[in-house]
Amino acid sequence: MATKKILDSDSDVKVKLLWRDVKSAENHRGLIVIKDDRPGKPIVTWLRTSQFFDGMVNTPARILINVMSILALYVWTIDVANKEHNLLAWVITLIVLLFLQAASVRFVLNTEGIADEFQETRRNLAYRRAYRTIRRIALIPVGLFAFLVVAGPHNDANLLWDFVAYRLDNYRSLTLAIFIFAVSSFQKYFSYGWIGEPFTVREKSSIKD
Amino acid sequence: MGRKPKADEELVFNRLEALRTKAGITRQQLADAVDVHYQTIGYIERNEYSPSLVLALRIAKALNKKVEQIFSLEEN
Repeated sequence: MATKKILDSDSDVKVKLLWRDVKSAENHRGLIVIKDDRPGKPIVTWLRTSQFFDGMVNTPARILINVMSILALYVWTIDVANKEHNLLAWVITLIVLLFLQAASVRFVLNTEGIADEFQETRRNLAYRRAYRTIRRIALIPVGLFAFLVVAGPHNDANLLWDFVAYRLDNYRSLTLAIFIFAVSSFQKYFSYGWIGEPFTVREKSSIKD
Repeated sequence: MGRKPKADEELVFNRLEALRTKAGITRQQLADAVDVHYQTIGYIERNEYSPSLVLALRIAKALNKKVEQIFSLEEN
């Protein structure tokens, strides 16, 4: 593959222009793809500009991020709480996924990124769904408590407190607290759905319809 | 493609695609004229999104039509 190297004297950064990309740019929307040699940069550049991930805003990227988030939030949590291990790795994973989610819908949930009324509507709907879901989740323990006290087999709230005291040591209490915080933090992104954000900051489409 | 933002609400039907094509303009050109993203025009044309009154009026003005000539409550 023929390559052309350009040395930038100011920043001393080697920029490699792949001839294939230049040819591709000529054929597609005038987009010029620049490969950067700095460590990690090619991956970041690929994530931001690849047709597949489209800067992590399109549907395949959202499906991937959502699946990972659901697994980390609802499956891994059980393992962390039961076996009382991997808490730090779990927390770091949740934080990374939260950032990925935020990046994935950044054009919608950030007010500055709102392009038009359609996006605003979609964002507001996501928030409404998130609040509704959080409200329902919050009602579960209240409902359980009410059931045990009022209609439970022994009409005895102490059963619940005994169970909680038996199951919740410090480690599990911390896990539960992180889980509750994570569930509420992830809801607005889950509510946004699996369909990717069609709006990007790129130049306007060249679609001639 | 895309979630219907106003799924719980009644949709407004339209003849936007036919009128736009008849006028010989692209989605992008119409979007530029009414100051929205071109994909929003696509959502409206596919009846996946009901535009606000302001946007409907802007679209009507851009196409030189009356709002009721473009949008209606019944599917034509």
